[in-house]
Formats: sequence, structure tokens, C-alpha cells
Amino acid sequence: MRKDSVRVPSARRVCLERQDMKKTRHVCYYKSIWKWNGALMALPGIVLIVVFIIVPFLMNVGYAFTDYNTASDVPRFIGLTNFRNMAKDRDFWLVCTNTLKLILTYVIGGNVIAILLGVMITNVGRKFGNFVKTSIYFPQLLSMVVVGFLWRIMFSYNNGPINHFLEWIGVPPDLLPQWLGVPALIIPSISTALIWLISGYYSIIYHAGMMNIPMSYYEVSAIEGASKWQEFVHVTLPFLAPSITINTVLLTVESLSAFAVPASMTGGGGPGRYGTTLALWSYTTYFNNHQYGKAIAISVVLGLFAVVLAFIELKILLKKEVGNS
Amino acid sequence: MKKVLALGLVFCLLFLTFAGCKPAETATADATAADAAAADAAAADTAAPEAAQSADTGVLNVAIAADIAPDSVTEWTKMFNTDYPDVTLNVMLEDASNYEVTLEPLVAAGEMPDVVGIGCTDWFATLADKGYILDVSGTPGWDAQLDVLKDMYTSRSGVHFAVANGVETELLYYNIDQFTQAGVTSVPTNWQEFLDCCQKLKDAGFQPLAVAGASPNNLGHSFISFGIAHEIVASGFDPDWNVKARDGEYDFSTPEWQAVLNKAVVLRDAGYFQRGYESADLYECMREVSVGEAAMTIQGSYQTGNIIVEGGANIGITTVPWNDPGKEQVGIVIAGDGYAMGKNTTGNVDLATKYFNYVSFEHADVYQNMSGTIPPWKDAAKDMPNAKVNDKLKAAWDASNALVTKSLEPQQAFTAIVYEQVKQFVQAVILGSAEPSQIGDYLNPAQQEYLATLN
Repeated sequence: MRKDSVRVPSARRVCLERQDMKKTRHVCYYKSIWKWNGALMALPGIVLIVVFIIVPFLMNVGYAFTDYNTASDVPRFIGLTNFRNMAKDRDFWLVCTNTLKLILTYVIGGNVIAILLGVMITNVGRKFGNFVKTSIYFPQLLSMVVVGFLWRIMFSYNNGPINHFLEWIGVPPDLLPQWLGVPALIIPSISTALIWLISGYYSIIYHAGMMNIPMSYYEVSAIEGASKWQEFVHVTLPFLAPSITINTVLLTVESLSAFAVPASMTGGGGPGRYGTTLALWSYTTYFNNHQYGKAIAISVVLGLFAVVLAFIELKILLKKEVGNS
Repeated sequence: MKKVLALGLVFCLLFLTFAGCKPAETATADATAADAAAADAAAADTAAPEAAQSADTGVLNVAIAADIAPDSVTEWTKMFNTDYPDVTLNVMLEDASNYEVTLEPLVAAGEMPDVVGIGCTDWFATLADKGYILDVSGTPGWDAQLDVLKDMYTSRSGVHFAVANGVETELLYYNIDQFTQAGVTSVPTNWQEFLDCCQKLKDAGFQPLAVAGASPNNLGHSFISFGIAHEIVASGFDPDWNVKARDGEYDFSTPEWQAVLNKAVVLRDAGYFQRGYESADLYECMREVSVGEAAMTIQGSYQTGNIIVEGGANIGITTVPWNDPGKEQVGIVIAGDGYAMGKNTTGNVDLATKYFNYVSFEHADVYQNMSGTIPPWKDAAKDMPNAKVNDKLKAAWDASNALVTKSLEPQQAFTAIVYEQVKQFVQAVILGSAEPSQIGDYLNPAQQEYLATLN
């Protein structure tokens, strides 16, 4: 090795390098401290989620494979029996069909009404804006059971305001619809009540989405001579795609877990099982039949159903959003 | 300093998260303490007066139903607080149409209240067998109640688990004025006369019978009660069917069982039910009768106060003529809901017993006076001299009680899993989406599922 190839650092250079190293160590030290502090700060939240959501969920899934009920001293593992019993139940397909019908009517109807209300809120003058928003949002403040009973009265065959109105406009008594008595009308009736309940909330989301659309697009469309409908279809709707995505997923999950309104409107899911959804079926299996294992198996299926549907919806709708297509 | 505060907060939150958790050993220790208290209470009768006095302080957790006479709970609480000023009484209201919703989570959490309102169903008998509900034999209420109620509130393993708040039956409520206007001169006493009566009412422009088609709970103990009473019990086909169905395999697809709802279908097909019966709930149904929109309804005697209302229609009450001509009527016996003692959580069985006796016997008249139910006592004149019972109801109850053959209400005879299917089945038949002959298709699989739950 040549002697001159070895660089002997000057005293000043050594000093500067030491200072740099010190600085770096200092920064690294703080970075590491903050990293651990951040994790520590999140720990209570994580623990709460694990203790109150993850663990019960896993326990729940576990119980679905047992014969857990009041009479059982210790829940026994029975494999897929609960799932088999559920699938063999004479009402299984009817309840699944009811749930799907509710999803369809609720998600489509809920979105359409909420968009229309959102447009109304956006266009109504500032003077009445707050009043309209409050009025539309008001049902959201009511208890679901109250809403159920309220709409039970609305749809009452003999004394409901809806049938009184139909009678008043000339519909003969024999042709008055039995909103909660004829199988084909029960789920749409429940859906109507649910849409009335939630449309205020979802219209606020749409309203917020509409407020974020740049005015220049509307100005251009006006200059181009677009009609209001064209403006809505070609400007408003495409920009609302992210709101539609989130609302559709939320409405789907909400319709799957809908329980209190159908229960109070239909007296527990009747007549027969024509008003029973999967969530309500799980409830009655638990509290009326006392078959906890089977009720939990139904709720597990319901959960899987929700995950799959939400995944499919997100896959489709995210592609349609502006910038993602 | 900030870091110290943040860390302190983190540990506080973590501590709070787990603060509610109780190790199993502690829970067991509590149960043992409760058992010890129960043993103490057993000896309390002979204890010194000072000991009894010391038991009058403490905390009691009670869950009482407030459905038919909600004010009775408030009244009891006021009275008990006056009589026992040193006792802290925590009262939870129950929904009498679904006790389980209140009690199931408490049972699962091991927090059964000291005194609970319960229904006379198989589920509560099971809770008694499992030790969640204590034996109340020896209490004044238990000793005084009718023997039939004692039978109904005795579990499989012989636990005497409740004192009823009344004794009930199913009756026919009818509009006296509409009967007169339709030319019905006497109340029907058999099935044929009942059909004639319905036809006359229909011809006169009245809606003969109000049915709560949208209320499976109500349908679960009206037509089917009498179907079983006549086709299964009175016919001699299988009077002990409920014991057999509870303890082992049972076939509900026999011709006798297939016939239990035939008469209900006859009424439906003849158009005797009110318009819109498919979506009428129980209260709509009773309202229609009480205001004269429908002429008759078959309901439990506990509904008398909801049907005979001040300013309403002129209503009469009679026994239900489901019997074929030449055969006897059958009375339905229903145990009113009852009061029981939960496996003690406060550890003060003596005090819990005092409250139990207070509501179930000593001051049971508070509920009776408000609800108008038939007192559950063998000697009502002695045990509840101030009972207030509607005269028409009293007469109808006496007539029903005098019938030789008796049958149980389905809710109190079927196991929970099977009964849930009974309700679905009756509703499906009433709506026309199932035939009476399909009863086995509904009940047999449920019976199999029930048997599978027995460990």
C-alpha cells in the first residue's frame, strides 16, 4: 500500500464528521422515540379494537361451530351443523331473497332519493337552505323503532293515512293495497320506511360532493347550451362518483344489518317470513329459539355476504370514478 | 413533561380498558358467596330479630315487567322504598312480550337480577334447572297459588320456580249489540252455532271476526290452542303430547295433528275475518272489536281491559265454541306471567326474598287492581279480598274453569324452538301460503333441532 494513498483527516474534518454523526444520531434518536411514542399513543385504540371488535368477532365465528344455547353447560364443537341446519331451513332461501330485494330497493331507491334531495339542497336559496336541510335530516334523529311503528301506522290497511288518501282519490276499498300483508309489497314498504329514515343523511354527503364541483364546468356547459338535465348527467353525476361509491357501500351494509325497522314494522318479520331479513332472522333465532350457535352462524353468513358485496361494489364503482376509468 | 403526561394517559386508558374484566376465580367466589348467603337465608327464619333487621339494608337488583300495568312497578317501588328506606332498589323494566331480550344478556353475563318477572315457558324452566333461577317453594305466594299453576311453574327436575301474577284462559269477546242486530239470539255453544252466528253477522253487514294476522305471537295462542285442545287432547288421541314432545322424538305429521287448523281455514275461506286481517296486529285487532268495527275476537282473558273500554262497544264474554255439536267445550289454562328469584348477584338472598314476597304475594293486589286479571290464589277471598275483576270476565272464567277437559296454551306447552315454528305455521295457514296438513313439515324438523340441543 502506498503511503500517500492513505488520507489522513485533518483535525477540522474529524471535528465536522463527528458533529454530523452526532446530528444524525440525534435525529435518528428522535425519529425512533417518536416512532415508539406514536405506536404507544395508538396502543389504547388498538387494544380497544382488538378487545371489543376483533376478539369478539373471532369468538363469534368460533361459536358458530358449536351447539351453544341456554341448555348447554359447555358449548360443544359440532362442525358445520349450524350452517347445514341454516341452509336446510325451509325459510333460508326466502330470507336470502328478502335480503337481496331489500338491498336492491334500498340501495337504488336510497341513492336516487338522496341525489335528488342533494340537488334540491344545493339549489335552494340560502334563506331556506338550513330549514330544508334540517327538515330532511330530521328523521335521522328518530329512534329506529319509532320509525318502524310510525310507518306501520302509515301503511295500516284500515287506518293508515296512505290508504285513506287512496280512498279519498277514489280507489275502491277492495282494491286498497295491503302494504304489510301481501308478500310482494312487504319488502318495498320496509324499504320506503328505511329510505325516509336515511335519505337526509346521504343527501348531505351528496350535497357536500356537489359543492366541490368547480363552477367553471357549469359555466362551460351553459355557454355550450346544455340543458339542466344534460348538465346534471354530464357534469354533476360524474363528479359525484366518489360520493356514489361510498354511499352505495354504506347503504348496502346498512340494508344487510337492517333490523329494528323491519322488526317493528312487521311484528317480528311476518307475515310468515315475508318480512324477515337475515339480520332479523339471526335475532329471532337467538332470542326466540334460543339457538345461539345457529343465530351466530347466520350472522357469520351475513358478515361474509356484506364483505363480498362491498368488495364487488367497490371494484365496479371505483373504476367508474373520474380519473380512475 | 409532555411525554410523561402522554404516557400517563396511555396507561390510564389501558387500565380503564381492562378495569371491567373480572377473573373467573373472582366470579366463582361471588357465586360461592351467594350460595353461602342462600344457606344463611335458609337459617334466617330461626335467627335473632337483630339479624333480620340487619338484612333490611343493602342493594337489590330487580327486573319487573311493565306491560299490562306499568304503573304497578312504580307503585311497588314507592311502597318498598317507604317500607325499607335503607335498601337501594335498582329496578329494570322488562318487556312482557319478550322477557328474553332483557334477561338473555344478563344470564350470559352471570348478572341475573335478584328478582325477575318471567313468562311460563320452557326456557325459564330450563334456566331453573340450570340454577339461574332459584326454588321458591315455601314462600307464601307459592303455597297460596292454584295447584295447576304450581304444576306449570315446576321444571323438569322439580324446581318450583315462580309465583304467577294471575290465572288466565282464552275467551270469545263479542259485540252484544251487533249480535242483536244480526238476529243472533244466544251466544254460540258449539262449532255449528258459531258458523251460523258468523254467517248472520256477515249477512247483516258486520265483520264477524277480528284476527291479528300480522302478530305471530297472538296467532300462536288462539286458533291453534283450540285445535290442539279438541283434536289432540279432548279426542283422547294424545292428552300427554306436550310431555312426550318435550322429552323425546315426536311426530307432528299424524292426521290428528294435520286437522288442528282445519276450522281456522273454514273461517278464513268463508270470509269471516275482517278486511285487512293479514296486516292487522294485536292492538289493531282489539281496537276493531272495542270500537265496533268487528263483532268478535278470540283473545286471552288478560286482554279484557283492552277490549272492554269506557265509551266503547257493548262487549260480552263467553267460552270459545270450538267443539263439534254433541261434544263438550275444552277450557284453556294459561299461567299468568310470574315472579321468580334469580341466582343472587348482590349476595342478599334474605332481602331478595322479602322483595319477592312483597310483589308476588303481600302486595300482589297492586298489579291485580290495575290489570284486572283473575287472582292466582286457591282462596282468593282470603288472600286478595280487595281483588277487582270485571263481572263479565269473572262469569266467563268460572264457566271456563268449570269445563271438565282442560288443555294448555301452546306457548306454555311447546319448547321454544318448536313454538317459533308453530307461530310461523299458523300465520302461513291463515294467510293461505301453507295447508293445515303441512304441520309436520314445519314442526318435525324443529323438534329434531330441539332434541339436538339437549346435552
